[in-house]
Amino acid sequence: MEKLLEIKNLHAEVGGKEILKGIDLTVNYGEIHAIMGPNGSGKSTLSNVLAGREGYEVTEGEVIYKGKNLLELEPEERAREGIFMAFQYPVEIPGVNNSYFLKAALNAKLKHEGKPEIDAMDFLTLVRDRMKIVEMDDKFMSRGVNEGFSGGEKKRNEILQMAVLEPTLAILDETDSGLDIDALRIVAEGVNKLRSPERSVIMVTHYQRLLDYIVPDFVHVLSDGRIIKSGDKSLALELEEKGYGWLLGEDEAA
Amino acid sequence: MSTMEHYRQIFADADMVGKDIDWLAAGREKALAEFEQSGFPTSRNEDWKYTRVNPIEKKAWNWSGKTCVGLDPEDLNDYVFERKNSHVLVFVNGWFQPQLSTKHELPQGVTLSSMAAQIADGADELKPYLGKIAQNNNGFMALNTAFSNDGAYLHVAQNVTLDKPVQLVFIATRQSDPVFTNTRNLIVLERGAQAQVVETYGFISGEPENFTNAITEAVVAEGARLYHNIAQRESEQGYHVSTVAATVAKDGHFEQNAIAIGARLMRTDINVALTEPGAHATLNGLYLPHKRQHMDYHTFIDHAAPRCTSEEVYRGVLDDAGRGVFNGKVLVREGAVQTNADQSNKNLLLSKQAEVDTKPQLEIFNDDVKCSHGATIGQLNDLHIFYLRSRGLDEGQARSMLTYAFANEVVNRISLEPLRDRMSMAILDRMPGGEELKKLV
Repeated sequence: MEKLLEIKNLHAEVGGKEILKGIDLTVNYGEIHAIMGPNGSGKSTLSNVLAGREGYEVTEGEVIYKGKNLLELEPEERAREGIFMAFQYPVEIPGVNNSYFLKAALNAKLKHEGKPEIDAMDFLTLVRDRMKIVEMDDKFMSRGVNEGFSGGEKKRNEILQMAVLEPTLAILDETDSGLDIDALRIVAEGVNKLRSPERSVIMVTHYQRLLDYIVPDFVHVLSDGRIIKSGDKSLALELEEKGYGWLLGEDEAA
Repeated sequence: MSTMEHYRQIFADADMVGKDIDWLAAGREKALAEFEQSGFPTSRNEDWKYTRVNPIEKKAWNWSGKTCVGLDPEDLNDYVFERKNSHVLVFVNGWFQPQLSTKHELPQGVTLSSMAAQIADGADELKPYLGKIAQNNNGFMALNTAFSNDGAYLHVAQNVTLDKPVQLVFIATRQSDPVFTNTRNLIVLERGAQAQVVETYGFISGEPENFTNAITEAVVAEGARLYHNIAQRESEQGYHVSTVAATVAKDGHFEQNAIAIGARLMRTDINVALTEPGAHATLNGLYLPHKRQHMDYHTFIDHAAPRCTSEEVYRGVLDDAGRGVFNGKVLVREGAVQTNADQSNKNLLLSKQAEVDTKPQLEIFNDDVKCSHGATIGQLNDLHIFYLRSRGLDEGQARSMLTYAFANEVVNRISLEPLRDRMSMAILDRMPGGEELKKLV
């Protein structure tokens, strides 16, 4: 299997406090990895480091993506190379129109790939098609980015953007948080539609619930900035049953 | 020659219309005397604290006589929209230009003419209004009144709606001597009348170093509705000082959008008096100083009667060493019960050298009111920038998109659609990254 992402001994700080304390993780093309863990274990920090957010400082280790040093790339370069992070808390950006923002994003990616920009008609057709997946109404496109959207609408908008941009590596940062069961199903469907041998997904989640809908190939448990256990999907079920205490206790004993 | 002697001299020589009309001549003479007394405002005056007008004071501005201009209507396409569907009055260096203007058939009861023509043909019709709505509060206003000569006059009779918008286009051209123009406009809407007016200040042929000194007086009678817009797109070598004074009677509605893009130095005062119950004023404004431009908006809403409402939204986007001033005064007089007044002023600083002084000023003299105001000064939101970049937009693109969105909060309030589109484009034209954004929006 070909490696898409390789994280080696990754250490990262936020505001001078070390959060990630040596993460090792390899994601091959076509795989779905779930990263679970209690609050404060570093799950979101890992997502943000991969997306290149300011304020998340890597102090040690490396991240190789498509054979390149990911950490040297600006956030927009990562995006154009096919990394997409669905935000845990998608921001509302009043006045920036959903439609032209998404078109600008898609054109930036196409340009990077040396392809011609998409014209207005083709873009409309593409967006309409993808909106069906997330059951979004046309009217959302003429509104500001996430402006006045409910929690569920915001998450669906993230998945819509993902469906249009067709990333190689999708990082879902607690996408399931705050979703009701219908929205969860819609979001999961969007992700499942994207599944292919050319694409990989990292799902960061606190709960097993999402994994009922998007079945992972691997499950990793993150605690205090390290992956303390990896397994297949049965690990998530076991966690659900026994709680994180089970593993944390084991960690302390070791 | 001293400054005052200079203006006294050109006052004697100027080919102003209506020199033989006693009340008008006396009013001009009195105003000149007031100007000689007061001079130009200084920063010792609290109202002019942040705006120094020395560059205007230092120059000996000359009167521009009525001259022939070699322009075609097409030369004005940047400033004029939908000629077929608007009445367009064009003024060049202060004088009305019929050959550049377009007047369609007017509904019965509507007068639309140049001020000079109205003075020549029926000055008495102007007498009850001129100088009655705008007092000569400062030297600039006195100077305007002394030299007022041309401008636009719009009168709409009771219950008449002027369906086509009126575009007043004031153009400065490059002159060998720097000239000033003292445009005077008068808009009178009788009971239940409606009109939309756009004042555009622009330039043609190089970047003239002109001085526009304008006053617009507006009367909105009972139940009348005036939609008033000012697009200030002067030369960046020029100076623009203007006052809009409006009175709004019972259940009348005054709505204004003021957009400032041009001029080296701009000062605009907007004074609206809500004189009878149920009157309403909406004031929207946007100032976009860059390079070394200075833009100052002073607004004053006078709640003088019960149950009046006002809403004010001003935004500033300041780049380079641009300087902005916003002073928003709301006065709620004794007895003006059940007043509802909202004011908001937000400023976006795009560079370290940019600066803004914002001063909301609420003076309330009775208890039964609902008033709110807020002023902010800030930069673009880092999280917003990151969100856009995380989708593939580069930082410059993200910044221009967010800046445009901020400015559009005001532009989107313009009810006249072709003007709204023009203003969006005008803003993009002068924004970093605007060209690229134009292709998307």
